Amino acid sequence: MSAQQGEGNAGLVTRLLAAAVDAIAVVIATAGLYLGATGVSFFWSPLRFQWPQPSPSTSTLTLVVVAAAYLTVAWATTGRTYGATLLGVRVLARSRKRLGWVRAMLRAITCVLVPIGLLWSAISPARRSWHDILVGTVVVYDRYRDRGRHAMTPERTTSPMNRSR
Amino acid sequence: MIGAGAAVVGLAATLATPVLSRAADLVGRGVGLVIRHVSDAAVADLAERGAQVRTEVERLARELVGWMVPPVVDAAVAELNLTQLVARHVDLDFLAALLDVDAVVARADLDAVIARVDIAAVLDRVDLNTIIDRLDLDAIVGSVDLDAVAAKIDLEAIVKRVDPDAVIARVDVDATLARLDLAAIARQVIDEIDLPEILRQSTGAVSSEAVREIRDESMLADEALARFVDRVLRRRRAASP
Repeated sequence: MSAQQGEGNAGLVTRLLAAAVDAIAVVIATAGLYLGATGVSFFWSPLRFQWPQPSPSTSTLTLVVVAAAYLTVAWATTGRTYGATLLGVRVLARSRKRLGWVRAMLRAITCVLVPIGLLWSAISPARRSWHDILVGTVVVYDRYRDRGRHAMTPERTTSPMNRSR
Repeated sequence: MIGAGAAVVGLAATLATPVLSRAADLVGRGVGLVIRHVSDAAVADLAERGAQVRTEVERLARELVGWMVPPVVDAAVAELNLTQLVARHVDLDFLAALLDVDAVVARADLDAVIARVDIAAVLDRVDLNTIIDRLDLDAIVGSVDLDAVAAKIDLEAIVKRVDPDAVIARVDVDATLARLDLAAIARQVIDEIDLPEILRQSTGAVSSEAVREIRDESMLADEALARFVDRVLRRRRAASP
């Protein structure tokens, strides 16, 4: 099996960076959600207002749900989260088409629950993580967004290694 | 009448000639007789008296001349127009050619002459404006080789002699600044510059540049990691495209 199968697919470093950005985004979104809920609670009954003190399990569950929802929506609609946009990668079906909602949600849940599966993309010759193998997806370099190209067109075929720097 | 007169005169002359020759002969003989019988002492005495008389006559003659000549000469000069006479009869060009002007100038004490000149008065009489109007300054300047003049100027030496501190000390910076409407200048400059557009472009360029850099670096890291894993797993990599 040749490593060239992974040509055009994003590697572990890029995907980890994108995931880190997404994690930060999820934490911020969850904090916003918490503050929003608190505000609503305050306006609903100001006299009995207390700062909500969610249990760790509730907090974790909230984080997982927010993350799964965020990833599902992002992958089902554009194929890219904020981190993926920043790093110039996109999640597509193996047929290079957009994921459906079901597959997007499946992938999101597996990603949130078993994030360590991402590391397999370093070992996989095609640079596919467990989630990719399970759901049948690929993460590709896609840097055409800024130039208004079609989102589904194949990604760049040249890597910065081959460019003169 | 005239002929009768002439005849009378001729007759008288004819009659008188013998008489007169006889009388002259007698006088000559008498003088010779006297000279032979006069003594030497008498002759010497007479000579001395003669000398005295001659001296006296000469003195009188000199006095007479000294007394008479000046009025006569004055009268004569008054009658004569000497200028016209000289102009008519004297070759002045020839005389001038004979003059050694250099020698004359050498003998002249020019310093003394200049000391006696009232230069201020001379200058007062000079109409400099008229002189300047008649000067063709363009032609004069045109004939000057400014390049050659500039080449002869040792600017380095001149600049070395300039004391920048002294020059700057004489500049009234406050007064200069006070004359400048800095606020208006600043407003004008800001109006000329589309600052928001520049900020948009620069921040956009910086951010897009940074993003591009991050993407490139992460892609290179992906490649490096993949090579490392392939080497660890002893996987064969296809030749790079």
